[in-house]
Amino acid sequence: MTGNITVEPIKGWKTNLMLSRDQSHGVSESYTSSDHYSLYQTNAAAKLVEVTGEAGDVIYSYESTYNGRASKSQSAGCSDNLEFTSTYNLEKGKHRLEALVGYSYLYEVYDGFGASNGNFPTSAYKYNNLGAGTLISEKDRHASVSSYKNDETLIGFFGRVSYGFDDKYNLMVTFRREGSSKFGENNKWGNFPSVSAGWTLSKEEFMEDIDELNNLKLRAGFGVTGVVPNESYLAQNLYNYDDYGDVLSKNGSWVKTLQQTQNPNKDLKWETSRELNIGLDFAMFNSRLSGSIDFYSKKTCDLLYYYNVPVPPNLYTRTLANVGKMENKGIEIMVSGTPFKTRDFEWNTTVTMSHNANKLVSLYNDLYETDSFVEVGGLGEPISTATHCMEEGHRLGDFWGLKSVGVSKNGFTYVEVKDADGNWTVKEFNTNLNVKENRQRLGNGLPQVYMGWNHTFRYKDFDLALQFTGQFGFDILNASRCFYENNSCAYNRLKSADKSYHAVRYNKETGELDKCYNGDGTPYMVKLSKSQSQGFWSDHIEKGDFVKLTNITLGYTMPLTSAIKEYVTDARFYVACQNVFCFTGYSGIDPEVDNYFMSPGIDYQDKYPTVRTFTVGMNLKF
Amino acid sequence: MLALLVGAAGLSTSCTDLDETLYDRLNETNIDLSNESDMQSLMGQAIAQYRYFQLSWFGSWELNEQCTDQYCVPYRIGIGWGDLYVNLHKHNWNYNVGHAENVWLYAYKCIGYCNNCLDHLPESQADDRAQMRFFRAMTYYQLLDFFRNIPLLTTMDVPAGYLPEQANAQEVYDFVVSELEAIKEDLGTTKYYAWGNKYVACMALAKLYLNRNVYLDGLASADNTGYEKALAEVNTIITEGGYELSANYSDNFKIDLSTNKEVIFAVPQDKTHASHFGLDCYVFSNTGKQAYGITTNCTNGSAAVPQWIDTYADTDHRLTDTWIGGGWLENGKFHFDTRYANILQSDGYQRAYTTDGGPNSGEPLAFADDDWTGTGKLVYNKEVHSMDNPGAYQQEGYRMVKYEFDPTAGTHATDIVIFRYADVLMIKAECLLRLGRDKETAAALVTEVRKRSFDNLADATRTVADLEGGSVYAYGHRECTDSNCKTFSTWVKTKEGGDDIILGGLLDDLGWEFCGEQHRRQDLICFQMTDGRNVFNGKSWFCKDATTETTWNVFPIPELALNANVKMKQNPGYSGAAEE
Repeated sequence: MTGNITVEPIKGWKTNLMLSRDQSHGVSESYTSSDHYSLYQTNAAAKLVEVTGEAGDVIYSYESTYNGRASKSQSAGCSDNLEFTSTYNLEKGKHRLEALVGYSYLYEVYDGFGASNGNFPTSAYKYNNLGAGTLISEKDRHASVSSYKNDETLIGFFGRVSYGFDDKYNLMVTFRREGSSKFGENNKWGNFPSVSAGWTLSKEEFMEDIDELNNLKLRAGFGVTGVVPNESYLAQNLYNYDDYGDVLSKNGSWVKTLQQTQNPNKDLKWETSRELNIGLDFAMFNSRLSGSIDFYSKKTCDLLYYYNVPVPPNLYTRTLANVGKMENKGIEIMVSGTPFKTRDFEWNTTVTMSHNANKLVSLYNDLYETDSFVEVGGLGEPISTATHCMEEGHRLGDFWGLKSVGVSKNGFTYVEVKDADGNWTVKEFNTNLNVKENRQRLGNGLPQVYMGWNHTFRYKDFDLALQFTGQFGFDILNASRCFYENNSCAYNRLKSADKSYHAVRYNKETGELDKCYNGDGTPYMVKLSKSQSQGFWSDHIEKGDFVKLTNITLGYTMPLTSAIKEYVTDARFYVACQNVFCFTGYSGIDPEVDNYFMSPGIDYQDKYPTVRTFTVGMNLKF
Repeated sequence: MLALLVGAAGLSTSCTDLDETLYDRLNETNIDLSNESDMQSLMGQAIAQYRYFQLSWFGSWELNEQCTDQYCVPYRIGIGWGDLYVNLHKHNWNYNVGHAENVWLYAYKCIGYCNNCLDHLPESQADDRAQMRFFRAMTYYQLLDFFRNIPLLTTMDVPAGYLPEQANAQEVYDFVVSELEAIKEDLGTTKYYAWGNKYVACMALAKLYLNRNVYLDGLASADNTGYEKALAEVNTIITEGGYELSANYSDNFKIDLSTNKEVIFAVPQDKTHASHFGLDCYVFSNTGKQAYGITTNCTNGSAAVPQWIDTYADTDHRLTDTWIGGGWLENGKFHFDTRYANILQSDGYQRAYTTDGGPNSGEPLAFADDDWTGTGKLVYNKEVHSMDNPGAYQQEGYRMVKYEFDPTAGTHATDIVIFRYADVLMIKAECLLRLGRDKETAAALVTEVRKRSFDNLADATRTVADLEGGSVYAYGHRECTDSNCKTFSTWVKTKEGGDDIILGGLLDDLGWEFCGEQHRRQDLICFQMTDGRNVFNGKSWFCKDATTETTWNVFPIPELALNANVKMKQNPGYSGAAEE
């Protein structure tokens, strides 16, 4: 629902009030029948137990089973937005001026309700008669009822002045003062100025003679932007009743207890970035070749992230805090062209490339004195080690772990470690070797170059689109191999766990690894030992470079007779395929992995494969 | 539209209001810690954290037990485990051992809540204050035992950016002792189940005093003041406490201990309210659990150390009360352990081995590699090949069944005893023997504790000579690294025995009585060999070698605690510790 009022008391001065309310509702219903694997297992495992019969005799009965499980939940969101702006426009001769002031208010509130129950007398009710299940009234078995509600507010005061001369020179200055409810008491507000300028060179007299050139524009800008955390209430010292924390009171009854749910951070504030950007746009040959080049340099301060804090005095190991300074510099290039264009055939193509270089300038934070080095990221149990490190003065995304150098005759992975005198030697892998002095930088998970290449072809009424993407110059930690390229597991083993390695032996005299041979001179081959535990070492890090054809679409637009056009103005049939193929040397399922800045490049185990989708469709316009 | 305009009017009054509204959350504005009920709820959380600390996965119980000569979690061929569990058993851990980290975090959470309560509780509420100081002291006592050099915080009201420094063992010891002495009377003598009282405090003090030389001067110290003080504490419990030994040993490990008169302090669990202790998951394979009628998820991990099983006398019922076993291999042939043969479930399942129907009639076991009996049935073999090379086969090792199982909760709902009266008597015996006084009384006390576990008094009786003599534990490295070897012919690697352990007989008795009760690690560190080393370092056992290093007496400060606090220093001997 939106309402808009505009008044223009003097020509060129417009005042606008926009009010809107956006409401959303969600309902989720689920029913798990007793035949479902999870319940079937529970029921099959239910066992004869001894119970005392009415006559005091001992009889046997089956532990009660689940007859179905159902849940239903509802959620609602409401977003109220008010935006008030007042604009003054002035055009005189070659001068063009626009000035704007405004205020915006955004209030969002979310709430929901849900319940679940189980062991129903009939499967006919499904989730439509939750009260009929017995779990809600049984001791020691759990039904659940839950509800929640939370809110957030974002307020902005802003102003903008832009000036243009002769469509050649443009200048814009903006200022935004923004406040978010999510921050600490004294840090709710942030100031975000920006200034930008543009110069359209192609309109200058000295350029007008170059007929091939349609547009050439130089841009420069500097601005400050801010980031708000995703969730509300993170600055506060919150309590709730612990679901698992009941205790026996002195009179012997179980009572609920109150826990603190997070480390508060009353100083939580905006993450801010200052970015300088210089760019060039161009268009040539009747705009059949166009493109842009952008250079940027961005400094981010007060990064918002969950930072390791000391326990004690804190209750939790991590606090959402503003930590550190980071620098990103990069270049982005886009070139677009139409190499062929005839009446019947046209080919358009666009290439984009970007490169980013980052550096962690500081890990300083307002909360605690800290080291200039931290281990981050990690793999879950039973490997449980960090996978990356962050160090002041270094780039982000460096993998950090033990360097593997071969497989021993016993079938254990050799890793480089320091001996008692601090010299490098090798040992068979054991997870307790994962200490700082043995760990090394093993590559980086952030791509050096991102690339995209799109084509569209049109031949008469047929059209064909191809979309290529690629990432280059990075490494991937293939976590599936850490967990499953391992012969100690009875199940879930990768085929590569069966691979044979040419065994090596550590020669203490030379410090070299000598290859092992059988008596007859053939290589001594060995498979990974059944006793080799799951773990992470450098062999699991692979080059990630890839090129993908992410989308291909073939379409046909039907020529329509004028009689049909009275009813249907446009008709197009198409077939499309997403995730068509991928060229890569990477051995995992998909080299396109999460690039989260602190621990990028982990291809987690148990990942759901990227699906290939085929679509056949028809577009009709009336 | 009208509604929007009215809304807009409302908004204008609060156009810069950025407060978050609390709907389903609580903070200082809607709870009141000066109010009795809110404060009780917060105090409850301190107690809940003490329970997490004791019984959670990677909690204090596991850290204490997995490094002993009684119990281990080997790498299971075809299943997993391994890693940290193996390193814990071999005494080859480092600061990344997850057990130590979890213990640290739970302990300081418990302490944090105690401190928070104490910051708000007025002096007038002396009994509540005493309870919070009690749980805090109990936790600091164990942190001292595990880590020695730890931050000693007594308030949550610290300045921003506060990085605590470590107190040394003497400071922590002095603090815990003075706290327990100070609150003894305020705690009162009423026995509220699972809460502190005077006698629980006496018991904690006795433990601290008994281990005084371990914590402070070293075992070589001639200082006897600790034993004198420990003796005084246990005497108070004996004369005033009104506790008594239960009729049966296994009474102390029942699901509900609230009416057990031997139990001085326990951590209660409950299927609905407090379900934590996952021993059942370690102990059984999914086949083995069926003999106990349990439906929880079991993943076949832990085993008894075979040498430990050999120490039990045939007549000692604590063997079958504590462990379940099938038999052993001798000259390549499997011998059933008849001590378990008559332990039957009411539904006809035998607990140890199934001679007539397997776990389920006709259902074959997938244990081809270690089907010791050749029958395709589940039968635990006492021997275990190795911790990790090749590891343990699925049927290897006797299993700990000391704590009563609930059919649907396993050990997750079983109350776990922390202090019991048998220990009071045993501490008294130990003090008397160490002080060289009333040794006959000491022997009589030990016999008193043993009596219920033997069929006749002669078998139960221990003499002073028994207690002062060596241990019957056949110490020495045991391991069979040849995975094809089913005869265990290469099993014995070194022979050390237990003759050179001072008070070795008493050590054995403590082991039989308190196996799996967070007792053994402390005992192994406290009992000395004639060469001056403690048993923990000085003896080898299954896959664990003797050493002259003393690093292992204390666990490393966890990585996480070190990394987040630049003032924290690692304990000697561990990676990252300052050079001595």
